[in-house]
Amino acid sequence: MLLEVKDLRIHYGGAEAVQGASFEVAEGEIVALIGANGAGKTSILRTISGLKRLTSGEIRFMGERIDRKPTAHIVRVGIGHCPEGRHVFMMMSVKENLQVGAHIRKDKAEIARDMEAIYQSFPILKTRAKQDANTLSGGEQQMLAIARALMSRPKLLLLDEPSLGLSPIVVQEVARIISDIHRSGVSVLLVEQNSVMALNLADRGYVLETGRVTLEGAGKELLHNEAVRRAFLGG
Amino acid sequence: MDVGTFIQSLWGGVLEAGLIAMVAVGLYLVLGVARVLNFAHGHILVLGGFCTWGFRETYNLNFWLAALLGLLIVGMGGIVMERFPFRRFYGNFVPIICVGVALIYLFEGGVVQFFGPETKTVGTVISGTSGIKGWFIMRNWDWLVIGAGLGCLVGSGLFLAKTRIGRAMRATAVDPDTANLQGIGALGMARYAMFIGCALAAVGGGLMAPKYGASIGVGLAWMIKGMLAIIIGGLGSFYGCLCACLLLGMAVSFSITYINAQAGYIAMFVLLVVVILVRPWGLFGKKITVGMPGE
Ligand SMILES: Nc1ncnc2c1ncn2[C@@H]1O[C@H](COP(=O)(O)OP(=O)(O)OP(=O)(O)O)[C@@H](O)[C@H]1O
Ligand SMILES: [Mg+2]
Repeated sequence: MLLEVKDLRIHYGGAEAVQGASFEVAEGEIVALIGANGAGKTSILRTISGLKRLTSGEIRFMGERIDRKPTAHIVRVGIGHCPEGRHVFMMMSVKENLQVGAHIRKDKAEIARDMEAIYQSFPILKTRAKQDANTLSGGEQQMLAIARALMSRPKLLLLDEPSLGLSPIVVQEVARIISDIHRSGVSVLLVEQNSVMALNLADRGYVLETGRVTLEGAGKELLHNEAVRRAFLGG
Repeated sequence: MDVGTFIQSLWGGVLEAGLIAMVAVGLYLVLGVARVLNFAHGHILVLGGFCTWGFRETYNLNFWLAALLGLLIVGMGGIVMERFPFRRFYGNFVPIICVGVALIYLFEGGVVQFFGPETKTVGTVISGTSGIKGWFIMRNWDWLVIGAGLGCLVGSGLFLAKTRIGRAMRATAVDPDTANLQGIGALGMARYAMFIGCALAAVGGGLMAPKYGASIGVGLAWMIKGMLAIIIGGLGSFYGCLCACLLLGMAVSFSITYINAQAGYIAMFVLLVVVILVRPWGLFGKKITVGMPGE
């Protein structure tokens, strides 16, 4: 198993945001984690990356316990994280954003090659390479944030609501990019409120409600599940 | 008004600006990257001067070698400061200020204890003057200080702009969590910032020593000048900070030439007030809302 999360509990002060969630991602999978606002999706991803500490439970990546490890270590072992709200470095150029994404690597030639490959799959980033990231549109910033996360050559990519605030056409574009990334051999844990998009892409999915996993199954299966339809797809 | 005096003041301003910048850039880095406002940063500058003096006095070392050793020792001292007192309080601004103030006592007490309270004189290294007669003349030493100071500042600017670590430091300063997600360790960056900041200040102190001597009493004044530069330039703006250093340097130099020797401090104060009345976020800072909420 690539990523195993067991009985994860996360607190903010006294409030329990995640109340014993368990799920896994196997090598080569796209797994969707869907849930409404405040279900605890972002908290889970931030905890996997070590930005937030769990109260109890365990997180294993390729067998290694990572739940007490510093974030930089977690990135080095192969978990890339594209955060909610993009968080591109606004006052840096597109190219610099990508260079920062490659921080853990020192193989200059390979980095240059990866950057070329990124420019191939995101032509817009090539035209904007020298521009500051704050001049990009929301969709372009999302592409940049995903591309930046790829620069570390992750084995597992955590995507936190990549469709947030994007128009339907751009959401399709993002979906295409996610399946390209997956095809290139990166496993993906996709957090979404846009459950149609996420479940269509995913091999498997988990439904998260107020900090608990209430349903799990194959992506297509959840897409047609009555309870999921009622809760997320409007009937 | 004669042109010679004017140009003389201009260069005097550049000199003062360079020295302020040696403090301000370090303060800026440490504040941005580690979120530490180090009240003892001006004392670091003075300690740089003391190291230079000490190595020359005790071991009769060549000035440059002494200054270089000072830079390394004080830089290492910065790493120790980061590791020991400051790291325990990251993210909590008030205790961090208290630590800085405590360090001031440590440095002042230590220096007076071991070296005595008087100002130490460091013999001149290069004598003579040069310039254009009738226009402006400066001591050769001052030329050298301007050159070395500029070199250090351009060097640190390039380091921040062009290198992997420099980029990582900038990323940490603007968005620590996201920088972390790129595999950038915040503690490592804080260590770099502290080393570079303290080393720059030590160079400043070393360069100043032949002209002003080394006196622990002036530490706080330098820290405040650096702080003024950061506020006038706008929090978070490197070039803003350098511009502010230049303005402060000019304000001091011109007011000393045209008013009197004590007017420098007032001039800096006036500059601060004028800038923050017009732009509370500083010359190049990001626009912020100021004032009490709801008022
Ligand atoms: N920094 C924080 N401090 C206190 N409570 C928090 C914090 N972050 C999240 N929470 C709480 O934890 C719960 C889960 O939040 P989280 O952001 O993980 O949800 P989410 O599923 O990502 O929601 P959304 O879809 O809106 O992004 C919420 O009740 C939220 O109020
Ligand atoms: Mg969220």
